[in-house]
Amino acid sequence: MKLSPITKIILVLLIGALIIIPQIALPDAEFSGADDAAGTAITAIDGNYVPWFESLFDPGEMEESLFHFQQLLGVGGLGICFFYLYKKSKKNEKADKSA
Amino acid sequence: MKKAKKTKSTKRNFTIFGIVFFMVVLASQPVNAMHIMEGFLPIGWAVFWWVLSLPFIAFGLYQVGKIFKDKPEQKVLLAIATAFTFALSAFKLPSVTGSSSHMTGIGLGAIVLGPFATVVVGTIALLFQALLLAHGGLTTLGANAFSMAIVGSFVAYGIYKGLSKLNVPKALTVFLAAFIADLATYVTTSIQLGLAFPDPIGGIAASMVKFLSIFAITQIPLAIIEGILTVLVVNAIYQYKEKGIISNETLTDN
Repeated sequence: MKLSPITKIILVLLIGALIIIPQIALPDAEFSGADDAAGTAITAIDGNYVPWFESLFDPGEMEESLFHFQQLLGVGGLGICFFYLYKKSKKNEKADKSA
Repeated sequence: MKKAKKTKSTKRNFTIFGIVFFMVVLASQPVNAMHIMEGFLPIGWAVFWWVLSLPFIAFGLYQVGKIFKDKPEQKVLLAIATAFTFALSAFKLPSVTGSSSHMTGIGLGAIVLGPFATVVVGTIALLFQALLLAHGGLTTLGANAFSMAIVGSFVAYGIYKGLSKLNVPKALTVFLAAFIADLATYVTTSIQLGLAFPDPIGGIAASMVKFLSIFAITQIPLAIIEGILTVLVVNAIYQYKEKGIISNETLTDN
């Protein structure tokens, strides 16, 4: 498996299109979360249902920054891993050359 | 000369990742999306899914321990899979239905690590979100782990293995594995909610369809994005395998 640079560019553009199209096609949509809709649906099916357990920790206004923290962990972690692999392959190439 | 070219292509790989994640960051608004919310499964069902998930998590932990002990060179793959799941499940993206949801990132782990280790990867991401972000929950962790970490990774692994045997082009195989695994997660969530909250008139089936219509259509474009991202990352990992930097048995050529 080896993708050509052109394939990669097309794939990246495709991702961009998939992200942008809904926002252009539905300019008035609020894009609220699908699980909030599920919560509403549960209440519609069973009006008497009361959630029996609350989150131990309510992040409140910190929620957004905590989500960004998770994004940072994920993207940063990926960056570190691939940088490590990149460095290691450079080192190997150097070792091959001097051998 | 050849070496210079190689370095250039590696740099281009970095640039591509950079562009993709920048686009995703720009488009996403972090608010809660998928996963069954804390307390939203009746206690019997919460226990049921916990009991069903625990053996998978236990065997998964054993497998992860084995990676650390016997295949330390694969730790970097474990890290990549975990980081990928953390990143993808934290980006809430708008979809064609006018609501939004997020990806799972499970397919990558299943392809490079196998299904059991990936169960642990997914459960860690879910636990993080349940504890810190009030997103999903502890009582519903069993159910959410079952739909995302267990069904997701086994579906991805099964499709990957099956299509690899049929000699389907690798990029398409990887795409379909991640794409269908992402959808399977949401189908499972809908079944779980349908079972717990049957419609008073139409019963379990009617209720399932209702939840499917909330989750599944929203998820299709996101599952496509997840499939493409997984192809890009697997492609990058594969190049390092070819150079002998990573050893891996599941990632085969064709």
